[in-house]
Amino acid sequence: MHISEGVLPVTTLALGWGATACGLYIGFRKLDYHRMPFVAFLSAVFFIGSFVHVPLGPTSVHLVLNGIVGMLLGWASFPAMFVALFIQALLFQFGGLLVLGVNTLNMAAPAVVVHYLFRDWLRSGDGVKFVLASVLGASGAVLMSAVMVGLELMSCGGEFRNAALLVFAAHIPVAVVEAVVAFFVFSFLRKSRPEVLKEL
Amino acid sequence: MSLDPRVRIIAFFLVAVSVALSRSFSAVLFFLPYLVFILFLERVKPSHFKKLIPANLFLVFIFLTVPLREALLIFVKCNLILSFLIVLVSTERFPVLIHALHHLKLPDKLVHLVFFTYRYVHIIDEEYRTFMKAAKARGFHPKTDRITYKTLSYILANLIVRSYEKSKWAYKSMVCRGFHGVFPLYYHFEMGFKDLCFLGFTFVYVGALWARYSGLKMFM
Amino acid sequence: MGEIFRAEDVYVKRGENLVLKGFNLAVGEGEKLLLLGPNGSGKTTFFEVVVGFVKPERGRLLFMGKPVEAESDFRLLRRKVGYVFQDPESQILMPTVEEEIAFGLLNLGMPRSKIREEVEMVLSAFGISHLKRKFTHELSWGEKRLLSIASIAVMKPELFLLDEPFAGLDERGVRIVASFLKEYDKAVILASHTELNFFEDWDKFYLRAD
Ligand SMILES: Nc1ncnc2c1ncn2[C@@H]1O[C@H](COP(=O)(O)OP(=O)(O)O)[C@@H](O)[C@H]1O
Ligand SMILES: [Mg+2]
Repeated sequence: MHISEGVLPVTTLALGWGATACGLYIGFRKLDYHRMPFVAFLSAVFFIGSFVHVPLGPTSVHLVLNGIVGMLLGWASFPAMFVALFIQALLFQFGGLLVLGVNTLNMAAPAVVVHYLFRDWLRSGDGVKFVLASVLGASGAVLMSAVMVGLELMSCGGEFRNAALLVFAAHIPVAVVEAVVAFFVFSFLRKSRPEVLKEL
Repeated sequence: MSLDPRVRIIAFFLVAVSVALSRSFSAVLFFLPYLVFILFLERVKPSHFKKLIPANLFLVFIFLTVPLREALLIFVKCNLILSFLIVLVSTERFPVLIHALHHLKLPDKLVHLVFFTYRYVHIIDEEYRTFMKAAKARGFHPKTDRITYKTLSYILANLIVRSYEKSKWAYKSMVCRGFHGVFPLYYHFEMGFKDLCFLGFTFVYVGALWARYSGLKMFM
Repeated sequence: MGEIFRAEDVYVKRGENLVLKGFNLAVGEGEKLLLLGPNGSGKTTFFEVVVGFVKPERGRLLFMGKPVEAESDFRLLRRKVGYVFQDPESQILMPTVEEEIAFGLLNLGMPRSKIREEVEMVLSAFGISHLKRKFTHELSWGEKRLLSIASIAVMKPELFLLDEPFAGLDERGVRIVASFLKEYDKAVILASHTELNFFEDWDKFYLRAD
């Protein structure tokens, strides 16, 4: 869920940009040119994910993918998601350029966390650990993002408390869907293309 | 009007940040004439403004929960900033914008990643559509069940596998054509008289607002 | 006539399979060669060996008389060898046609004004001048194919490798590429899984699948 322009106070926007700048610095320093096409492709997958609608009862949710893609990317999540959100802002006016710092932080910081928490389990031969890593990594990243969006909304003032709660609640079904999707996606990769997971 | 893309980006940030800083309707609406002025210069097609719809979906959350006056201010600010984005930046061709970022001294690796990603978004989008068509041609009908989730997930997994394979070849393609750590860019721009006029006008306009609200008082 | 490239007794493994077994091939200056063989016979693998993406188990490669072994040798070789990939989609890097063609020349450090001329020339040679400002993702398959060949041709390689360049091209495209290659004054190796009747006078080299 991207926060729109004009909502957050300037201090929050500035803090978001500051944190994202640090993430980008680390991400780019670790990113060699020979890996850049892969990061760009996963950035594109993350981009297209927001257009993939998964039916859920009478409605549908669109995928966030910050956990699924993020576990494969690690610190490169910052560059990849920043660029994807940047292009979305320019082409479709999703989010916006001033909130780009905050929106990138919301997506990429949880991605880095789940990458380091779960990458060993994701690569391990132990089936239980593997399933836990996929499910918890994907849904955990979505929920962390939701918490961050909520906290940022609260920074606008007390009257935004309900908005924050509403946004968080809206993310719970998304987290469940992502967990299921992650299970299938990583099982597929583990069976048919294990080298993708090996290079984490 | 053909403006130097660097001028467009700088002008956008000047006005957008000023709008974002504003805490009163009068300060925000001060920018409306500026928007009208650019619309007049640029002759933007009205259909471009359809893109404002998704942004306003997020605002539904705000309207549901926040006092009306506050919500309305957010609504106006959001749509004004995005309108500036549309008329000043998004009307320019995307590769030209990326080159402009390079000439505005953004880090090289960032600019290159935007280049690659922009191209690959189109490749991945096309593959996703092809996979969906193939699935539907074989009777796939999305609903809330195991087979739907499995199909969509496998399509996604296939996109990741394709990414992995194509990215290997993309690096080979760079290497084969003499890439040696410096990614070359082709377009260069020259700032003309009308660019300077436009930039000057924007500075004066924004400066006038800041003066009127005596600088930092706007924050309050 | 001098020799451009020679492969001597090359053995290459892909995964578990030995794809090339004691492979020998030599190309002279300005010589044209057809590399023929069914799918999976190792045509692409051979090209990847030439430019150093796949390392042979055994055997020797010589470029302009000098052995090519270390990565630095291959770096020098790649400045003079042009390689058109089998899949144009994964070869094309840039968002617009003119940038894609300029990419290699910019890397070689050619001045921009010269590049602009070269881009115009190669675009008209391949009959795609009208596509100059187009986005690469908007091109048809055949147009992508022509672009991928043009963006290597513009670098005027001493040895021009083309991997199934006619796949997906219409008659006009085939004619353009074939006549370009016939008139190209440097060495060419063209890989194909079918016999090509308009290259009657070219030397043929057969790979077998097994
Ligand atoms: N990356 C790879 N890993 C393992 N095997 C490969 C790889 N690439 C090609 N091969 C195998 O090597 C053989 C030769 O392939 P290739 O050189 O692509 O043939 P051709 O281009 O003549 O169709 C095939 O049997 C193919 O399955
Ligand atoms: Mg082949």
